[in-house]
Amino acid sequence: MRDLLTPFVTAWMRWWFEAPEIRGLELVRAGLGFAMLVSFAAQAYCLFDLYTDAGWVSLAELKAHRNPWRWSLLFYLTTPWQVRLAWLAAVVGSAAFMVGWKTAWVKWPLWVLHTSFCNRAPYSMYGMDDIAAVLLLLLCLAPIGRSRLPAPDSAEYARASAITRLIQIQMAIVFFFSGAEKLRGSQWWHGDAVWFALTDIEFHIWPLAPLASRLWLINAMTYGSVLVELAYPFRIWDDNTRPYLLVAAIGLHVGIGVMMGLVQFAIAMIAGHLIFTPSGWIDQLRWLLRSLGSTNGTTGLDRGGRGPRTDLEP
Amino acid sequence: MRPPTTPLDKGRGESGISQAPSATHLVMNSTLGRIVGSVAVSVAVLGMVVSAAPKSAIKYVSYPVFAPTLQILNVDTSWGYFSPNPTRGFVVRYDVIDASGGRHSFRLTESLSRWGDIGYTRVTGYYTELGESRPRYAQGAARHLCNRHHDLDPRQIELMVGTQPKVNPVEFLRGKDLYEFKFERWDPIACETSSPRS
Repeated sequence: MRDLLTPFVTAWMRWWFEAPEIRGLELVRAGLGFAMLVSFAAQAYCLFDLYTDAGWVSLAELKAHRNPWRWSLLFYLTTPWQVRLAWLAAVVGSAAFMVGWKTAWVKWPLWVLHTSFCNRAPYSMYGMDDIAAVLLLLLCLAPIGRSRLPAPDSAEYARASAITRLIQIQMAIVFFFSGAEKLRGSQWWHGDAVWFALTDIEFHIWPLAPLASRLWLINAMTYGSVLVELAYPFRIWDDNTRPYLLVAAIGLHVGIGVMMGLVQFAIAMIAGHLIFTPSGWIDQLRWLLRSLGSTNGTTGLDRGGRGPRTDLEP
Repeated sequence: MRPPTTPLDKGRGESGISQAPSATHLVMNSTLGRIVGSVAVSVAVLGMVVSAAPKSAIKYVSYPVFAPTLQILNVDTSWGYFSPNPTRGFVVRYDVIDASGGRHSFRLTESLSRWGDIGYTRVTGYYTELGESRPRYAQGAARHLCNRHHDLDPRQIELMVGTQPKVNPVEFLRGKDLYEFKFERWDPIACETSSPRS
């Protein structure tokens, strides 16, 4: 029995706690920080409409319908200047999180603020907030924002590895359920869904006549979206197919951002996908950053010590 | 070649970075630490799956166990974007009825600029929610609009929610309008006070 279990346990421990690449965490941090910065900054003009008693939904009206497990600092910070102050802290926190300044201190208050804004105005939340919530929480648990990554044998490395795996699984889950749910829909099944999404007044930003006259293109975009979402959770783990799936997933979100104007959502999703960035790409990015002279060994992409542990090293 | 390592090897400190093992180091690199870590990641993955899973007997049993934690952590999401089918567009319009019975018409969704209003999606998200969730937010919306149009001396607000028709590509090429909304006019809501907006 022990002989039977040992290889499984060893493989389990290695997969979770000794991931060969954990630098993707820093890419996710920077990307998510940028998405949140844009998202919070964009709320400047509708801040009081969404989050104060003088706005669309008063606190009393919200509490009459709210889920008791949902909490928010903005249940207590209710005056316009208090909301403005919380918003300003969120903007500054997002910027600091993006550039990796005092991340260990900044990430938790930023999570509290993000959750608070989400729960004060659940009626105005959308996909951007959903993906930001899960990524931010997982990043809070990771040792990120340091000039050098943890040494491969350290407990910190094990923690970073576990969080890397959790973010990877989360992204796979997002795509799997999003793709599987689409198979239930007649518009996805018949290849028209992208057309109907693009004609929704909320997302209609481009002239549609060129697309309407090319039904094959609508079909290709619809089926391509489903194919990417269903292939991703299964093939992203394979080193051979990972680059293709990663490019396809990022391409899908660039398409959503450009064609439908969901820019902040697209940036946040792309940030999540970066957790799968192959080591070679990160090395090239690190080289590029260094050659630009913008850093001096503090990219957060530098390996700690001798790099990830392998059994083949002399 | 050095001997193969196992995940349970303790603080070898070869990198020279963490020579003095910390308490966290000892815990996380111990067998017990990794067992605890394994349980934690297993529960986390289960939570992710249960949150996103469709309705089933398994979900019926497991969701109540995870739901409070997922909701406290703000990670209770189903991820079904644009599925099973993309939703139909919504627009919200309203009339302000003043003290003399005069009507002043306004548009909410349609007054926004797609690229000019950078919080567009968030605001239209509320308008859609308002349209779909009547009467949950209607009273608050009317109160807000009464304050917004204080200068008109408003007495009532009448909300209208328009649902966008589904127009397929062939119909579109034949000239059918994407924006022939079918409106539902809600009962007027009286303005409680005419105090200026704070």
